Amino acid sequence: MNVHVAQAEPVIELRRVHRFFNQTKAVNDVSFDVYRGQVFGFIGPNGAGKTTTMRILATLDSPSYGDALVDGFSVVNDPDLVRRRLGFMPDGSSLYANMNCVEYLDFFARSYGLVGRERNDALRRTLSFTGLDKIASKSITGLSKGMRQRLSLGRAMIHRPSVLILDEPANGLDPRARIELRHLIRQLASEGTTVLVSSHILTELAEMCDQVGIIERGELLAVGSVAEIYNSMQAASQVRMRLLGRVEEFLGVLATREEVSSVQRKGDWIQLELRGDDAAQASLLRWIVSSGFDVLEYVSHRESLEDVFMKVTTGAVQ
Amino acid sequence: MSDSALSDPMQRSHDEVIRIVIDGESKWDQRLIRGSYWLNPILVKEARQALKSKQFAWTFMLLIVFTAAWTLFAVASSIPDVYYDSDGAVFLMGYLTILLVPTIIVIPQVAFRSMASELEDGTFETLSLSMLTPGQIVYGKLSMAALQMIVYLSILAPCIAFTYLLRGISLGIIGFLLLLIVVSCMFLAATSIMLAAIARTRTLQVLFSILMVLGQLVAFGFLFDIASSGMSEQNAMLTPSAYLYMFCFLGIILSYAWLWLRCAASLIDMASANRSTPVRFAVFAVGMIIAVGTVLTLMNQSSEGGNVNRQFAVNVFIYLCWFHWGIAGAWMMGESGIISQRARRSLPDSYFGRVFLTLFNPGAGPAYLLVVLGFLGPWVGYFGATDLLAIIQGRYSGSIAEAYRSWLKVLALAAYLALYLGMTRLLLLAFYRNKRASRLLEAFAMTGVLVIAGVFATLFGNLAANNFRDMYFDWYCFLNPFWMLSEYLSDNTIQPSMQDIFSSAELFFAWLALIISGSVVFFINAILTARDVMITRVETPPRVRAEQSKKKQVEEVDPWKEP
Repeated sequence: MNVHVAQAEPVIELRRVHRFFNQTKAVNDVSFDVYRGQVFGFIGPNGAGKTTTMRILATLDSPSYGDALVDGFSVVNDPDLVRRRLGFMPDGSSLYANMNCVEYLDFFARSYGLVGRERNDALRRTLSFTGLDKIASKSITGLSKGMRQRLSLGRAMIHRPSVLILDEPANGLDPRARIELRHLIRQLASEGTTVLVSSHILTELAEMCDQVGIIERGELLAVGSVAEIYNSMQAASQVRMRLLGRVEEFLGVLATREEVSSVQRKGDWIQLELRGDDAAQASLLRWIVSSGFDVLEYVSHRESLEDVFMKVTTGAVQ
Repeated sequence: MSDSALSDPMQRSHDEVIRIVIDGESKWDQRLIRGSYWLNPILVKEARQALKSKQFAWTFMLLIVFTAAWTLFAVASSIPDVYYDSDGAVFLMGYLTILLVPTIIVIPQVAFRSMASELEDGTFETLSLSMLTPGQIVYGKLSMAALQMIVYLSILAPCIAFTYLLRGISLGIIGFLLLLIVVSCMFLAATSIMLAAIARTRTLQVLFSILMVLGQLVAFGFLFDIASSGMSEQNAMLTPSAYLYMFCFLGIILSYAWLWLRCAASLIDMASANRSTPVRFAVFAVGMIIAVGTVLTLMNQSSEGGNVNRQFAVNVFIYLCWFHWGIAGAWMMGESGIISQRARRSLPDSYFGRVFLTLFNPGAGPAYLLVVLGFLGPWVGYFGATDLLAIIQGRYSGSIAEAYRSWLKVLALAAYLALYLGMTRLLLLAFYRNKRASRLLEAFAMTGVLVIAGVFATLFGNLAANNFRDMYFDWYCFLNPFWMLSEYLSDNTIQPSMQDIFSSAELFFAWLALIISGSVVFFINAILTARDVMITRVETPPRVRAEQSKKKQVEEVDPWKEP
C-alpha cells in the first residue's frame, strides 16, 4: 500500500460539494482529499450519492454548491483542463457497435489529441496493459463482460490520466476477472495514478484501497484508512484465547483490567471484548504473559471493512 | 508491400497483428493512417462503423440495383428512338428521383440516429469527456452525412453524365439540380442533428423522428417538383435573375444549417461554457445574410425596372427577417442572466469590444436589445442609403410615398418585436425572479401565448364593438400583428405625397399606438438590461493560461518526428 507524503498537494480535493435535485440532497456537504498514487474506495448503499459525486468530479455534472479540484483545476471553472487529466469509467459504460477493440481505442486516442507516434505508443501500451492485445482485432459485439470492462478501462486510461475514476468497475465480473482488475488498479496506483473507485464488494475494496470514504444519504460519514476509521469509532475489538490451566483465576484477574469491557467463557475458549487501540491490546498481552499465564492460542479479530460499514451506515434511503 | 503483409495471416504473432492493426499493413495503409490525423476523429469513427453497418451496405446495393434497373428500363422503353431523340431530361428525372431517396430520406435519418444513439446509449458521456469540442462532434456527424452523400452521388455520377450525352438537358440545369439536392441534404442532416441533440428522452426522440420523416417527405415532394419544373422550363431557369434568387435561397438555407449546428453544439456543451454567444453570432449572421439577399435582389430588380416586383421582394425579405429575429428572440428571452466565471473570461474587454460585442453576451437583456437592433439595423442602413442616394441623384420626390411606407413598415415590425419579446421578458422576470436556470422553452411558449392572446383579444374586442355582426379595423387592432400587416399590405397605392401614406386614419392611429407601446416596453427593458451589461470580464488565472499555451506548443511539434 502506498503511503502519501503529508506535505504533498492533494490530486483530488472536494470542497463542501452539494448537489440537490429539487428537494433531494443527493450530495450534502462532502469534502475529502486524495493524494497522488492513492487508491480511494468510495462506498455506500445504493442511492447514497457515490455516482453523483463521481460524475461531478468527472465534470459530467455540476455541484449546486461547493467545488471540486483535480490537480488544482476546478471542475466548475476549468472542466476542459480537468478532463485532460482525468479518465472516467462509468457504471455499465456502453461501447460502440460495428468496431473492433483497436479501432475503439484508436478513436479515443484521436479524441484525446494523441497523434503520430504518441498515439501508436498509447495504443500498444493500453492493449498490452489491459491484456487486450490478443483480441485487438476482435469485434466489440463479441466481447465478454470482463473484456468489455477491460476495454472501458483501456479507454479511460489511453491518454495516461493522472486521475482515474472508476464507478463500480467490478460489476458483473467473474472472480478471476475481479482479481485481475484489482491487480490492474494497484499497478496503476504504483505507477503514480490516483484512483477513485466505488464498489459494492467491500472485501475487494479493503484489499486494494489506501483510503475509503463511507457515504450515506449524500453525507460523508467517515473517511480515512480502514484502521483509522475503526480507531476513530473507538469500537471494541475481540480477542479469543486458550490457556493451559488456571482459567478461573485468570477470569477473576481479568475483570479488574480497564481495557477489558466484557469476558465470556465458551468451552476451552475465553472471549474478550477490548476497548482501545492496538497499543492497548499489546499491553494486555504483555501483562498476561508476564503474570505467568500459559497462553496456548491467541486470536485477535480486527473488524473488517464490512463490519465498519455496517456500524457506520444505518441503511436509510432518501 | 512489407514482408509481414506477405506472411501467412494464420502464422502471425500477436505483436505482428498489433503492428499491422496500428501502423497499417502496406505503405498505402500507413499513408492513409497518417493522413487521417488531419480528419475529424468522429468522421473516422463513423466511417469505420458505416463500412460495417448493414444499413449502409443495403442502401449502397439498392442504389446500384435501382439505378441499373432504371437505366435498362428507360433505354428499353425508348428504343429505337434513343439513338436520335433528346431523352436526357427523362433519364435525368429518373436518376434524380432515385438519388433523392438516400440523400433526402436516408442520410438525415442516419444522422439523427447517430446523434440520438450517442445520447441514448450513454456513449456521449465518454465522448464528451474527451478533448473533442462540441463543434467537432456535430461537424463530425455532418461530415459523415456529407461523405455518404458523396458516395451515393458517385454511384450516379456516370449515369448523370450519360443523360447529358443523350441531349435535351443543359449542364447548367444538371449542376443546379445537383447543387439543390446537396444543399437540401446538408440542411436536413443539420436539422436532424440539432433535433437529436434536443431529444434527451425516448418520447421526444420518437416524436422528432416522426416530424423528421414528415419534413423529409415534404422536402422530397418540393425537390421533385423543382426538378420536373427545371426540366420543362429550362430557359426560364437559366436567367441571371433565376441564378440570383437561387443563390439567395441556397445561401439562406446553408446559413440556417450552420445555425442549427451551432445550436446543437451549444446543447451538448458543458454547463459552465458560454453556450449563448456562438449561437447569437450565427443568428446575427443569418439575419445579415437575409438582408444581403434583399440588397442583391433589389439591385437586380432595379436593373430590370418595375416597382411592384421591387416592393414584393422587399416585403418577402423583411418578413423573413422579422420571423427569423422573432423566433430566435422568443427562445433567447428565456436565457439566464447569470454568467459563469468561465464564461466571464471570454467577455469582451476592449473599448470597441464592449461597445460592439456586449449585445452578444449571455442573458435575456442583451439578447432583447440584439434582436430589436439586429432587425432594425440593416433595414435602417439599407433604406437610409437608398434614400440618400435618391436625394443626391435628385429623384427622391418620385418615390417619397414608397420610401416612407418602407420606413414606417420596418418601424412597425421592430415595434412588434420590442413589444411582444419585451413583455415576455418582463413576465419571466416577474415569475422567476432570482432563479438561475435558463427557461428557453417557457420563454418561447410565453411569447406564442402573448401573440395569440393579442390576436384573439382584438378579434373579440372588434366583434363586440360591432355587435358581433362584422369586423372593421380600428386603432386598437395593432395588437394583432397579422391583421395590422395585412391592412398595410393591402394598401398598395403609391402616391407622391405624405398624406396618402396611410390609407385610413385608423391605420395611422394603430401605427402610432404600436410605436408608442413598443417604445415604452423597449425603454423599460433597456433600463433593466443595464445590470446585465455591467457584468465585466474576469482575468483567466495564470495557471490556466500557462496550461493553454502549453497545449499550443505541443500542437506545433511534428507528431511523427522521432523523439
